[in-house]
Amino acid sequence: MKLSFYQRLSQVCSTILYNAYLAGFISGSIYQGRFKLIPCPGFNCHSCPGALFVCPIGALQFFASYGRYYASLYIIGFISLLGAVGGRFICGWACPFGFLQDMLYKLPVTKIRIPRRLEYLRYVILIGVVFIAAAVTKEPWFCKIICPAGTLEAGISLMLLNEYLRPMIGPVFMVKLALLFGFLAWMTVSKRPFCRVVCPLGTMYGLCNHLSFFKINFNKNSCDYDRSCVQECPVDHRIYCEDPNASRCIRCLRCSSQCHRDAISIIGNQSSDSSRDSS
Amino acid sequence: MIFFKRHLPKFFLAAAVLMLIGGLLAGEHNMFFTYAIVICLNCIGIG
Repeated sequence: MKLSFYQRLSQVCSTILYNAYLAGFISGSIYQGRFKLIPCPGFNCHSCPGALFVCPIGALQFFASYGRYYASLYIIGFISLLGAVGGRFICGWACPFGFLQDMLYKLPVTKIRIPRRLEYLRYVILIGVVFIAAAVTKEPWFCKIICPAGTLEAGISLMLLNEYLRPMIGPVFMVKLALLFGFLAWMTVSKRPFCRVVCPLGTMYGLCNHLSFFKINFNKNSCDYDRSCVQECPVDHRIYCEDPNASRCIRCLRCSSQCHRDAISIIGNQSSDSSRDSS
Repeated sequence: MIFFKRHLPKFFLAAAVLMLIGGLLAGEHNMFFTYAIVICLNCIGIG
């Protein structure tokens, strides 16, 4: 079977696993058990009625606005641990929001490329909004205004399910709803815009791409430069002329399965050293 | 330097594990547990 089938299967399974508390969807409440001690590897709001795990970005902002703690060793350690294994592979294989973006991009509408410069915005959001703004103002601004996952998974579902929350709808909810629909529209015309321009979790995983055990190897001598890898790439990464392990790459391995000349492969740390030595 | 570069992923993995253990020993998971088990009004847009 094709690699894309296994990728979709992994994305569906992880989405179900992260939101496996089905009772929450009936009662309009959220899970309060011990799994909430564990951060969610993918981008998934913990106020979703089905969410089993805590949102790592929400938890980071909680610590940033906590007072004594400005960065959580537990959350950063957890993200770094996953990043140390495979870099940004969670984004490609086990993120519900990435899965949503992949599906929406399949809609037959006019497509628009995202300018490369816009991708730097995600660093500003990670450092400026998630850490600095939360620490200075003691408010989780990313969750409060930007996060479309919170509006989609928690906001809309809880407003429909929980009658006590419904009267509390105000202008902030409307702003978040408008932002969500803006993002959803963007997802239909561009490849993974949220991952590339906004997502602070993906940005943290992306920083680990060069430090991870498993890396992408590109053999330029085998490549025939037909650009089929770029057409298949969900983040428009030009692996044939850019860094194969750039922070943009979500390690979905679509490029390697598409390449009929085996120019792209995944390698472990030791073999990357030996291949570099031999070349 | 070459040795450090060669084993950088291992050092990074070790650092990640140490951070995770450090956070657990400091009881950080218990600190955010109270935050994680209540509906986040900021997340749903009414905070």
